[in-house]
Amino acid sequence: MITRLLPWFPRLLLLAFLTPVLVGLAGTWLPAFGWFPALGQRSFSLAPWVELLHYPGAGTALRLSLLTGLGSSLLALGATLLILMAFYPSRGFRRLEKLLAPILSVPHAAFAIGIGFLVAPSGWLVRWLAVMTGWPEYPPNWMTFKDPYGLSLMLVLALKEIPFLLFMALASLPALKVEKTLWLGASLGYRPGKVWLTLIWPVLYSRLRLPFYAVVAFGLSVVDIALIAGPTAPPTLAVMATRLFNDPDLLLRLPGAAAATTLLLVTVLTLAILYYLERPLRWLCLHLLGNGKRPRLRLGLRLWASLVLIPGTFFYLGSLLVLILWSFAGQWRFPGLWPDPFSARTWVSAPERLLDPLWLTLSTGLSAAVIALVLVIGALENEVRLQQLKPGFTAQRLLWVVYLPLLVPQIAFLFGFQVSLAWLELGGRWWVLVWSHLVFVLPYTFLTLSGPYRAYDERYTWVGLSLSSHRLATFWRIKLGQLWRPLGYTLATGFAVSVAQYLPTLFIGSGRFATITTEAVSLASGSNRRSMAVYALVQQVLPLIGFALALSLAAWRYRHHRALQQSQT
Amino acid sequence: MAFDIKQLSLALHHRPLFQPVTVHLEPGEIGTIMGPSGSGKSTLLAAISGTLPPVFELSGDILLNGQSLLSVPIEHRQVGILFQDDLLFPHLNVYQNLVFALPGGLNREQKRDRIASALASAGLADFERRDVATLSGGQRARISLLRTLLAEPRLILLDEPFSKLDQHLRGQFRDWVFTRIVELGIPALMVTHDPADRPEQGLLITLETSHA
Repeated sequence: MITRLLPWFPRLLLLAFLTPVLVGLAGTWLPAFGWFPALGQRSFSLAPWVELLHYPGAGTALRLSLLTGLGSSLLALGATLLILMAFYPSRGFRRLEKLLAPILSVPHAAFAIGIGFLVAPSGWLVRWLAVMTGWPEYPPNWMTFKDPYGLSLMLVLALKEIPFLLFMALASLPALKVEKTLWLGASLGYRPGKVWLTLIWPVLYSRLRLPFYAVVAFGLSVVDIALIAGPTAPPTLAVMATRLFNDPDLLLRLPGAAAATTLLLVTVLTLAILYYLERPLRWLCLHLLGNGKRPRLRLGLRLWASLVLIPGTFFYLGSLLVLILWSFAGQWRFPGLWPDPFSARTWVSAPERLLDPLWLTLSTGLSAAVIALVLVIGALENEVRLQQLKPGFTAQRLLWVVYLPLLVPQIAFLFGFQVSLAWLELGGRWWVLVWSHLVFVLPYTFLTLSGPYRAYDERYTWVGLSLSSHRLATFWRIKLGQLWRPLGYTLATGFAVSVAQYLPTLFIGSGRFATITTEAVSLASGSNRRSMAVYALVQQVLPLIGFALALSLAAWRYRHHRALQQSQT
Repeated sequence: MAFDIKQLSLALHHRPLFQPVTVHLEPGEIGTIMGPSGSGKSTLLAAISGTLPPVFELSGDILLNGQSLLSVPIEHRQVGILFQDDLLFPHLNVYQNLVFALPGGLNREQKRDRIASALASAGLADFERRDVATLSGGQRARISLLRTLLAEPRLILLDEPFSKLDQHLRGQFRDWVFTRIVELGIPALMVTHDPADRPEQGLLITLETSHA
């Protein structure tokens, strides 16, 4: 009986995504301390760390990582708060909510490439300036992209994270009754600004904590965006570790492991500091709350928020537009605003090189998304079973476990996982690639599906069981039959996460696997802007097709069922 | 098809919810359970339908036709439940909602006939293709009952089935439900807050909170 199998699902799920992380961490720590039998290194020592310390640019790399990672995360958090304070709840916001899914699905690499085409010295922005003012005549010698301070990297990261934080905030806000709280505050003479900061934000932050930590960890350790938009000499620490891992001098893998482990330590420390800063900040909030002051000054919230929203929207739309332009460019000289002439040449010649990576991207993404969906449904169904055995049971306490792969820097365990796989002679297999993607697809699948799945009214199941005397039919036709929308949305999310993966593909394949993403990132270091644009667009379009398919399939399925149509919600 | 509850008591953490209950219902007889909020009325129905969480300790027995239901899983009890919400499946039309309840082994023709005559009996002829979301509250309630009856239950449980209906619909729907149950000749057990819901001369079971 299938019910007997249910308890195995959560275990399988944990095993599937924790094994690579734990094995990988250990497999990175050993070489970091000098143990790497494959290269004849069999004595524990601190030599790799000393080597890292003396490696040119290591200190700067660490500083850059901290600045860009932490800076972009705080910027994104601040912008999120600002936008919410200014516009939530309003009708415009509900429109924005619908746009968030496609915005979120924009892969990092494609977005960074597009931003580069906008802000680089020969980019679109400078071209507009040149056309309108006649200056400059030639692409200026500015460092507006890949600048040595990491500012462009910080910008790209912050822009990429704001929609994610907004999305996560919007999931929790309905429970906080913002409108009533603001109204209550106003009736006591407080302006919305103070109500937000003292009453709403502290509660909201406690729900945003894990997503925010994931953002911080991602920012500190991201590789693909940093390769495209980050400084080069020296790069950030994560990029430096990736280079060391892939250096022809195999022995550099040891200081590489030390660099990756440093990044892990830095991430853990940063998160710990953020955690312990919460208490004094909370105290400050309460103090502000209790001081009874009702500041009269208008903060101009809407103006400030617009100063974030409008450029943000501009960057998203502009990067997409400039990618399309470049992909159809025949010649495009500076300072022309448009390619002259347009040409479909790059697209026409693309298929022969695109097809293989495209096929690998699709097969890996779909497999990972489906496997993750099945495992997550099993785990959630097991939760329903446990709830039935023990009312009030909740697995919410275990949420941080789900977040674990998102909090550990990828670079800190992927190398170790790669080494372990090579040792087991499993390197370069396709199913291992799918598995490595699952590490990241599973958490997002769980986070996306758990809400709607838990909200399902189990009385439908009881009625179904008492009517049909068939468990599987009730589960399949009644429960899953009603959940097409969240199921499709979850599949599309899983697929989008897999499509965006860069490092796992790079490490597991040891360079043998080429997906659209790895191709786009490696092209980004070259100078062929047309190919770059084509790959970035394909990478960007794939997840969008996924979401469009999922949504239209659900819309088609429920076309005769008013209660389940989108407009109702 | 007689229904018996014998010295049944339910307890949570060794604290009984109500005094032990004994009920005997003949086929076609409708028993009414009343009692203050929190006296365990819905929990008692859950115990009979098979959805009782195991944290509750149960003693006594529940018998349908002389056979104990206690070890039978929910899907094999053949106990129909009607909640105050109609719980029509929103992703299925009227026909699909009803056909889900029909026993297996019928061919297409037979299924269509049964559903058509069931709908006609409820004054809802030709409603097969309708989206359940477009029906009125009263229509939905009737379809919900039809669905329960089509599954050929051996016992029907009604959990405040009328409380969400408008006052003028209420009496009418109530009479209709009771008539159908009597026609089918199966016992039924109803939980309600409203003394007017109780059929005349029907058995009344009052749950009394047991004070520890």
